[in-house]
Amino acid sequence: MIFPMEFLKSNLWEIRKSSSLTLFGGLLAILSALIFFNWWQQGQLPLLYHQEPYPMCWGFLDSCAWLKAISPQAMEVMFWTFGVSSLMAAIFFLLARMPSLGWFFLLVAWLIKWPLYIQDQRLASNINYLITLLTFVFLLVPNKSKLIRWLITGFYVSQAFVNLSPEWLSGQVYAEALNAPIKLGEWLAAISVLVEFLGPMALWFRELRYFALAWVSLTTYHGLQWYALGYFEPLTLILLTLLFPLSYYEERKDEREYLYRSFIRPEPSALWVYITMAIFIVAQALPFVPKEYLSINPSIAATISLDLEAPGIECRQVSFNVFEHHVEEIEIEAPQGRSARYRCHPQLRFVDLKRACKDSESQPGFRTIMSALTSRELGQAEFTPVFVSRDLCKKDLAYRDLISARGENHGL
Amino acid sequence: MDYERQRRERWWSAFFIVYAAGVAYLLLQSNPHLYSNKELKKELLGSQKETLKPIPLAEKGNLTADQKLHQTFWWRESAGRSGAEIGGIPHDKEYVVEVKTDLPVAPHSMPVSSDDVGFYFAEKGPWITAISNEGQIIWRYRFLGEDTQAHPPLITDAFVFATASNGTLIRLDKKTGELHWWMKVGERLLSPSALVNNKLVLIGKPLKAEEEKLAKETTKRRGQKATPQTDRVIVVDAALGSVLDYSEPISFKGEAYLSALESSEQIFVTNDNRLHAFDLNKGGGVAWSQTLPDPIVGPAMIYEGRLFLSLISGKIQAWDPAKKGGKFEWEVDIGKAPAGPPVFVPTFDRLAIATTDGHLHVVDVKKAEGLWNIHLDNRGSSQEVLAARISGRFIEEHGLKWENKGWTLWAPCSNGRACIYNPDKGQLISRISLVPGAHPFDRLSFKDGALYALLRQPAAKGSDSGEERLILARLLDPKTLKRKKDEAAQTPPPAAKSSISTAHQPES
Repeated sequence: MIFPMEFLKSNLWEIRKSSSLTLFGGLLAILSALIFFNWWQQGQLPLLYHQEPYPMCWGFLDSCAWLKAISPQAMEVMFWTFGVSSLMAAIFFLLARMPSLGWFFLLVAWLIKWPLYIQDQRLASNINYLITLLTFVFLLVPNKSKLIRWLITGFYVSQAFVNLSPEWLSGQVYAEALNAPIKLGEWLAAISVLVEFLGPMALWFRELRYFALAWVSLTTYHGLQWYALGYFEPLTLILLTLLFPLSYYEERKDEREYLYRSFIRPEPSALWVYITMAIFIVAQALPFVPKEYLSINPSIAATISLDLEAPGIECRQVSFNVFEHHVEEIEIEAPQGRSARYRCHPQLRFVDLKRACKDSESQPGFRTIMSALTSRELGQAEFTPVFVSRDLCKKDLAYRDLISARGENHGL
Repeated sequence: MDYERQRRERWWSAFFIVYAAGVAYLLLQSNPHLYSNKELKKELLGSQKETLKPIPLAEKGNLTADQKLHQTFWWRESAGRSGAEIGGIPHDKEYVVEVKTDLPVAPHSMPVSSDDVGFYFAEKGPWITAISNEGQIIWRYRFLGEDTQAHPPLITDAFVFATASNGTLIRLDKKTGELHWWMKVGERLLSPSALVNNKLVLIGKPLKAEEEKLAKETTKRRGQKATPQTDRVIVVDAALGSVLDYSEPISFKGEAYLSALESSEQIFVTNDNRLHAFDLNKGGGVAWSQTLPDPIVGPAMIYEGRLFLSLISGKIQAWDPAKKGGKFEWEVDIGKAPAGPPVFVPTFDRLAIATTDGHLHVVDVKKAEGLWNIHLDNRGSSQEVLAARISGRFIEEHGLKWENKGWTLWAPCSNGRACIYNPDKGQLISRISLVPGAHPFDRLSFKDGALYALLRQPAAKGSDSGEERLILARLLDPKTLKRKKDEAAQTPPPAAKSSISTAHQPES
């Protein structure tokens, strides 16, 4: 009991002694509240997904039906608790200057968020991934300032690597958002990748002019992104990168004033930074490792690494209603409002098929639905099969079974 | 300390410069078209191929590359469209209706394929249906789209190949209707398919994304600008379903009909007043094309290596397709518009042609002259004429010559009847009463000694629906019918069984 308490105390001490970290805690709490607001604005998204009979389970979970055991009322309480805790944390960090209470409420918000977040993969995004990771590090990992800054840098660089894909570099995201020619979109996409690679690395320059240039460039870039693509991700990154000037100022101040070092609580070891960054880098590198050399579950690898968020995958699906005495080719329609990013997502297509099974059950003579999905990325020449199933309405058929059976289906 | 810091700063700057150079290199590698006018997306899309392979939906074992497929057909669905019964089994000359059944659905157009199991046809709209010999539905398949029109299916020993106007090609199990594979072949399929040495031949417009690529290849091959938005002959591997080739582009007006000469793997397409020959051995390239003075009625009929055409002006033409450019041989004017392509009467070396005025004309192939014509008094819409053999015991009775092996002409006549004629001079041999009041047959099929007839019954006056009915009649020769009735009278009736089989069994 003594060790964990001491560990927690040293974490709190690290936050209390650093005004930049105290402020950053407030920013993290604001971002948490922003997530809550974003979900609330879209119709209380976690609660909406909780009501659906066929959730989009995270790939590494065998089944997420166990989450349905949580009652809708309990989910609603958790949802509002998440929002209120985030607000309270922000107030205590920024206004009341009581970092310990702020830390506590932020921890509550972070813990409460998990059952809301994990019930459906549609709530996931790269930026949510970053906020969740940074909150954890802020709460519980020593050497926070340096580690958080390196994680933010790592996030930018990883995102830039992911965006080296044809889907992003083709510029269609910017071209569609700004109604601009595709070549302009290409240039904007290339510039954004350049800024994401170089900007955060340049924030580590000690010389003020280079640091300031880097920070202003990044902030301007996010401002343009806000105009083109929406507020959530750019605002989040602007707030997170505020840690850099705050820490820059604090470090220069420490160097000038030669602050007293506490021997009761020594400075946190740099080893925390190396270990955590090594884990982060390995996690981001996993999707690039060929599957035959990958010893972990590919779903886990996909979960702990960043996703390409540009739409670009093309897919074709053919589906059939199978009756006692006849077969009909049908078109399964996706629900309105589904984002382009998820248009070809196989798990969502599976969910749509399950919904179609339920709708067709009442038709006389109905037996099952057969369906095949093929997809192709922008740089690929041919379509490849994603799944083929002759009995999608089987009660115990899970998405995992469909994907794992893919190797047995006679391929193209 | 300051010196250390400066040293670290210099190292960091050096690293940053190298890092920036590496980033620029990566970026230019990932988008090599950044500094050019070319668009990355367009370049990548240009390298994409359309899916020209089927999506398999059946067990592994059903896809076999080496399985030889034999088309099952009755008369007109043979590759050569000769209208003469292949196999030439002798039949009786008298038949009596044993049972007639109102069909629950009706074919949209002929031909209706049939075999021992039943009848296979396309309904009006997107449906393909299999009906048993007892007139009950075995299975059905529906293509996607309300406006889609299914084409008459092609059947083999074990499979049914079906196409639709929306460019879909499917393969089904003939007995159960189980879907084996599905594929998009083109954006518009014009005609039902033909099967030549395991190759399915279709006519349609290729998928849009394939069009530009094909246009470029054609320009390279022929040195002239390929016409966009055109039709082609599409060749598909019938066992595996993959598209093998596309022909040169052609513009078709309205309906186009396929015939094939299997021995030389040549395909002949008639469309309006144009006759095209394609060589499957040369990747479906156009061997030759001819423009005729008048539109051609139906497909070209091929027999013993020669092509016979019916022109709407009443001319019957013979062509030799083996000669370069196709050699016109002779023409006979029968004076009236034909209702369909000629029927070849084996051993007689004669052609029989039904005309739209209800006559049956016969032309001698060797002498290239018209011989005789008779009035069929056919009050129905179908003018389908067939050549089939009758049993040897009738040869002497009706003054037929033994060397002609009992070949006769079967044609719809008068009120709901089928008439059998001697091709020599048109003497009536027999008149088979089908269903009084019904239009003479759309289809005749012989199976296990029984004669099946598909007939259209006009709506009775005062009837509720006012719609034409389709009837399936089964006829037996009088002796067999009597024997069956005697047996039925002696044996107690069996317990009632459902005759509808299950079309699909999902996996357990």
